[in-house]
Amino acid sequence: MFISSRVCGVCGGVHSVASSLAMEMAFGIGVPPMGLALRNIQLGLDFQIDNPVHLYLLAGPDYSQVVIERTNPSLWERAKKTETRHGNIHGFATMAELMTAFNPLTGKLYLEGLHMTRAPKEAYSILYGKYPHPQTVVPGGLSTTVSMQVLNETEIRIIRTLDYAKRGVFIWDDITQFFYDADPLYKQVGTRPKNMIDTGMWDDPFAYDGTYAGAAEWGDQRWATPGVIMDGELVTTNLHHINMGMEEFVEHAYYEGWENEGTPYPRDPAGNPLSPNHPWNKETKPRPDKRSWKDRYTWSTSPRWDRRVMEAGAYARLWATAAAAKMPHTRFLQATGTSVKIDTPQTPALPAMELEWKIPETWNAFERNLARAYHIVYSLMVAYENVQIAFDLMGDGENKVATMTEFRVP
Amino acid sequence: MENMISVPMKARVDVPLEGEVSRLLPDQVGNVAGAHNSELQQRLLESGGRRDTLGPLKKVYVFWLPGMSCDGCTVSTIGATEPSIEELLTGALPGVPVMVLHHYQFQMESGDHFTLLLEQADAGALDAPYILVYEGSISDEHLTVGAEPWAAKGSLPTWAPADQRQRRSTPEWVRRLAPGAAVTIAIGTCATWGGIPASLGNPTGAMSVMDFLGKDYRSSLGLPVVNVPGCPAIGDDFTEAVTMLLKYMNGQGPVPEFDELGRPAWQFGDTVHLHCPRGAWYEEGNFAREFGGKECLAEIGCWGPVVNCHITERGFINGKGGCMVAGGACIGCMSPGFPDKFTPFYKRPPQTTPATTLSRVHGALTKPLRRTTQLERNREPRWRSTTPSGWAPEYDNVTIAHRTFEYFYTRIQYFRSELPGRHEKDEEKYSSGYVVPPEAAYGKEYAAAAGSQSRRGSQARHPSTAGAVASSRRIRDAPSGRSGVVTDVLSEPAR
Ligand code: SF4
Ligand code: SF4
Repeated sequence: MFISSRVCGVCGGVHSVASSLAMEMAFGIGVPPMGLALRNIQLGLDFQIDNPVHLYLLAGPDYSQVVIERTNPSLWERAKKTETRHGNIHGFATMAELMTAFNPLTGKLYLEGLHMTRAPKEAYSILYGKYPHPQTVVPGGLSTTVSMQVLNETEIRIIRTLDYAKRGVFIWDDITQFFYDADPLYKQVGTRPKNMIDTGMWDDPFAYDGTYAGAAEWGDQRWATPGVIMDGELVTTNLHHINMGMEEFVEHAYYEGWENEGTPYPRDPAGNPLSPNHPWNKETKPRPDKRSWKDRYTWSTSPRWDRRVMEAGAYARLWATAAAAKMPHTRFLQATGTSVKIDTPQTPALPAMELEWKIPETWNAFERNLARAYHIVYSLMVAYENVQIAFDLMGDGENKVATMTEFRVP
Repeated sequence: MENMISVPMKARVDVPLEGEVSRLLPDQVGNVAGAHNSELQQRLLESGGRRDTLGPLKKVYVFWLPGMSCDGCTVSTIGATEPSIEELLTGALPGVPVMVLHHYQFQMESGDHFTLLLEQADAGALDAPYILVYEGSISDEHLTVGAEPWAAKGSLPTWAPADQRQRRSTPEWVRRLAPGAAVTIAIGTCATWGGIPASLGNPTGAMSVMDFLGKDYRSSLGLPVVNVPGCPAIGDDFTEAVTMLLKYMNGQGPVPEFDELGRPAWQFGDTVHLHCPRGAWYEEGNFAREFGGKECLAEIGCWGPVVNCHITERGFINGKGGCMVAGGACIGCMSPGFPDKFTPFYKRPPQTTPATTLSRVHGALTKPLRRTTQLERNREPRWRSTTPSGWAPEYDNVTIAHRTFEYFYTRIQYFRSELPGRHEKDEEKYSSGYVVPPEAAYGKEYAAAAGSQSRRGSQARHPSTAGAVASSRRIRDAPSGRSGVVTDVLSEPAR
């Protein structure tokens, strides 16, 4: 877990949880509810760093005054005259003001984007030691010492971040609508087939049993439903099927294939067939080579599902959850089949409000950013609700954070 | 509807395709809009950002190069608060020059436009000194001669046709930029010692910046490589070290002190165990037996007593967090030799058993004595035989044996010294005649009930709160679906 976390400094926590899931399935051990609630908080907070960084530090500058003013002068003129729709919520009266706030280094939203990653990072460090590369993830749960104090400190930071996250939805809605109104052709920017994949996450604290055989059942109970979307249609939510379809190819990368190594796992433990190109059968054999656009040109390999290119991440997660409508209806979150509804409580600057992300008609660059803004709120609410669950578990004296059976390595 | 004028987007890829020349020219440096980061920094310098004139330097370039890294040190640096990265970038601190950061992730320009400034630094054509920061380990590019490097930044010479260009590996950038740099800083365990990419079985020949530049390397200020280790490095450790160096360069502070491995000495002088909040559990001989325990983690695999790190003192971010603070055992991620010298994780480090056995013996002797005094000190002098609290066991719960022990222990403790405090025998009567409750206020029955309850054990609760606690069921066990006492109250504003 410690090593796999270090695969990535932006999303390391997720990798370390993934390897504890793998070990739990290998050993056949579950996780006590408190462990799962804390893990859900962890996985909710994990998105509070990369998502705002993406929106305000990486994507934001594309819509900033310095860029728009020079590339599209007429658009900038229009922005100066256009009032924002949600100015009462985010405080920017005109689109030009909003775009100026996106300026790198000098813009309010840029600097705030840097600053607002801190509260969730603090919460993360309080519960898991540090961010990235948490220090308390173990097979069978966590090694966090849980107390009223740490839960309180976490909850407060979640609420403060939630305030910011709610505002973000309205900022990105304004950006999207402004560009759509200026020219509907913007809807074509960054369009791609609606092919998406997600393994789901946030196991229900009372449903997960840590077995591979049960993955299809506990997968459906996840607070983000696993799913594959092909051309806009949900084709499966079964974690076994999702796993079966995975393949990885190295034809264009600087690696040798592993055809000659045999196929160690022709089937998964449940008896489903696996491709020789399934990641479980893979062996990494680097072979530096010259760059050739026709042959090999990258160190990145090509993961595919059913031999198709898929999008993954924040919006795939929302999409699969919305379309499947299988996740348990929680206190604050609900999937309707065409949307997800997020019921948010009041926060320091904003009243309680219900936000709804609807599956978009067109799939383009603007919708991706907008979905990401909703996803920030969604994942925060998962974390918030799990803090409440953790408090209640603590009231019941269920403080066990990890399974401590003496398991043997098979 | 007003139609927008579409300006052709000069779409470019990082490296031109075969036979293709870069479409933008050097005088149009920037992103597609011709905007670039230094321009905004210039705005800051000229506008209100920085009026202060402490020291001769207005700005210092910081080139942040990634080798084989996970970006984790970048992510943790974004969280720093002592000072924050914004404060450094915007020239908020007097005496500290504006840091013109040239970072591969946050730059507006890309490709040739990104490497242009690096090239200028290489040619000595910058208008201010620069600091080289390297994140990630250095790959051995002898293994990739004639092929794509393991790690590279840009293709040079800039603007030349594709067939005359070559990918430039990051080690090559370091070789060129390090001698001219005011300081070279390695951030993170990968860059300082080799770290995960250099562990057993790696194919890339990964090594640290020190290994790569050699013992004799000196920066233009005469400093060897400065190392800020950690996996990831604590953001504050880095920004603090940079600030100290910037102040020194600007004639506003002393030379920062570094230890024999080039670490900031004030940060890495002690072991993490010395500042650990669980240290006293160790001293009293209490060790966590399972994950989640609040005691010392030595016996589930903590390397803290031998690792130079100060996360338990500084916290990970904004004073919060830290491995053992949260409950994670130290795996030595700041140390040379990580990970190979510290694996397998979650096994007892060497010498743990003799050391913990000794502290158990020590603890067995000191703990009862401390508890005795603690119990006695935890009472107001007024409350010799009863406390007015409805929560706690009464003082008269204490056994005769304990009292006898305490009597003699006190004699020894204060042998030939003065017994401190006041020495009333009974509840204190105030001059007005007021007597400390419970009897006076609640009557005898209540006192008897509270007394019998508390005698059941220290976990017993106040009668009126016990009910509330018992009814606060797990959310989903409650009859109304998802609500409990606590959660009902909370859900009001949400609906
Ligand atoms: S947890 Fe580790 S660092 Fe802390 S006291 Fe115990 S051995 Fe020392
Ligand atoms: S306590 Fe140990 S594991 Fe934690 S940051 Fe320090 S050296 Fe790394």
